[in-house]
Amino acid sequence: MKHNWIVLLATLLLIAGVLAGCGNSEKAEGSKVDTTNTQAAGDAEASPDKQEEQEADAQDATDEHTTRVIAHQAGETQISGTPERVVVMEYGLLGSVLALDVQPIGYADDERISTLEELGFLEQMGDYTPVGTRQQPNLEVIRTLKPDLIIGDYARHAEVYEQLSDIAPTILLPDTKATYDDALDNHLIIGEALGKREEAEAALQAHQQLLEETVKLLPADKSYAIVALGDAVFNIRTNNFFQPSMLEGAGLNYALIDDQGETSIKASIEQMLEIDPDVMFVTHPEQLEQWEGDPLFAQLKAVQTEQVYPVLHSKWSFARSIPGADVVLEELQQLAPSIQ
Amino acid sequence: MSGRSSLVLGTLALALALCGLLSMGLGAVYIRADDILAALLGSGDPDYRVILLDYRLPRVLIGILVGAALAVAGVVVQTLLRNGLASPGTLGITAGAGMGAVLVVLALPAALAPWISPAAFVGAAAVALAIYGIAYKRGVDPVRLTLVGVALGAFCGAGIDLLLVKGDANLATALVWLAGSLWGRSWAQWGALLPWIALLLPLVWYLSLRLDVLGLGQPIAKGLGMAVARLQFLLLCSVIGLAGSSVAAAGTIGFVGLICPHMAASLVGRRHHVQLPVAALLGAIFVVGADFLGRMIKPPLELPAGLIISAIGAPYFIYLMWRASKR
Repeated sequence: MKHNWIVLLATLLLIAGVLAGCGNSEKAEGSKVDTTNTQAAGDAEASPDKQEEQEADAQDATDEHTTRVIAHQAGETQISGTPERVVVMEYGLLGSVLALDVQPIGYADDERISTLEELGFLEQMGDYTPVGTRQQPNLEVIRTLKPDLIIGDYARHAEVYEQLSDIAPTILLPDTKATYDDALDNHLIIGEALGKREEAEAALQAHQQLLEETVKLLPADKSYAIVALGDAVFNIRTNNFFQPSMLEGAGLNYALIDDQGETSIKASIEQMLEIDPDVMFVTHPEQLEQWEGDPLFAQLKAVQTEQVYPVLHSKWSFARSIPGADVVLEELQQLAPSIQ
Repeated sequence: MSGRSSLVLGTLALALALCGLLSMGLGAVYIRADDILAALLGSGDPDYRVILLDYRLPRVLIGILVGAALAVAGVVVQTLLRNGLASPGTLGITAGAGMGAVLVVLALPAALAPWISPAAFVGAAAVALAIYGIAYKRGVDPVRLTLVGVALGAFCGAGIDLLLVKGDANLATALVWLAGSLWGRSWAQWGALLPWIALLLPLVWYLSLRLDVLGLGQPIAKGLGMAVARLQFLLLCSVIGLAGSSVAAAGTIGFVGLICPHMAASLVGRRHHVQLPVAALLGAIFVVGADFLGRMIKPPLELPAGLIISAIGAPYFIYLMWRASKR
């Protein structure tokens, strides 16, 4: 019986392992949205689409016959004509599609429309059929929508690339951790796929102009940082993160440079004081109230000179696309007069 | 086989058939019964045919194999380690599969999709064999095997976490894919899974009597003239094959290997030649049923089967412990 304590130890370790295993499961939550029968939605969609098709035909008869090969992260995909029944499965990609004036027939909205609403996507989208979560989009629903183009996130959907390609031409692009350069490419690739290459190029030019103008409006001698406020920590975006890399590339002095490739760094208030940016854009501003009671927080340069600007997390952290970047730039232009 | 065992087996087989039929018939896209028939007979809407035969059917069949394999592997591990709290995860199968998946994504970021499954299997086998090797000391003592298993499993888990913190988004996705779901699985996974299960389930069942003897403890088994070390190694390899191929096909669906052995034991007792098939049927019902629930709770959302099983399995497991502690 002298081994009893070993057995006990083994048992305890096992229980710990089992409990740790429970923690790994994904949480699924959501608010109820559109429960329309997918078939009905598909049918209802069909007639206006035909009208659009005819209009498109009249506008550009040659377009119908152009076949192009789109190179993307998961391979090469042949697309002919102008896709009209498009299924999209990630926020940034949706931003590009909507900016090119295409309403997707299906979107993987996780049954959560609040984020779509905040990003201003919901009203642009019109009627669409939810196709489940971004993580596990519902193949049955996607198939019965009879799409002619599927745009997905490489990181999430590479595993089902073949099954998606069997439904319709599919392109997979980086989104979840897209860099600024990725987003530029994404916009052009999506434009090409949708048969709207010129519009996409024009949007890029307009974007680059907007970026230059915006950065000119901001004082060059100040340092800037985008910080997601947490309960006890600061999640400081590094210069590798989407929005900072855009601003830094345009000549802005970003406060946190990381050459390890990290996109975000967790920092305590002491570390924050060491970085001490002149201007801070903070997401999750509901945490500000709590931080304002902290004497160390009050010592931050940005706090003392009243250069802390609350912004929306969805816009300044999600929406990794050119149109999403434009939204950030427009907000920056509005804030510019008060930034010193 | 006693009348009671036959009755239990028959009832469970019926329940499994019912689960399978429900899973085939219902989904996010409603297909009328006559359309199902038409699609199965080759006429009718080709989309329905694909949904039924390429989406739903392989999920049901893979679910049956995975559930049966995990439950049987669970019975074997619990006998092998003489510990009712053990499961295939105790032998490092889960952590090893995750490690394999993460490493292959690091090494071959471009060729992601087709390599995760085999890598998960190889990882599971490598870690399980390493655990056996480290625990080996003139034979394998169950307690030492358990401790080494838990320690090495935790080590691999920490390694995975480290790589995830450092690594890119594709890594996390590889693990999500491994996190226990039948979503997006197709005939390819079925083809990879079937040979293992078809070979190893009968083999383990054939070893039932030896498992019974091993359950009495090593000294008695040795005294009865059994080659304990060889049998242990053979059983370990069977567990690796069963659980490893399951994890590679459907991810780490927890609790099946943990609770099905107990449920089977309370239904028909601990004689392996009946406990094994009963546990296998229970496991299959669990996985197919959980996948069905996950698809039907809130369509078109698909909740992973692993999540559903954890939600049901965890309370049941706590109940088991409570009951055992009262004895």
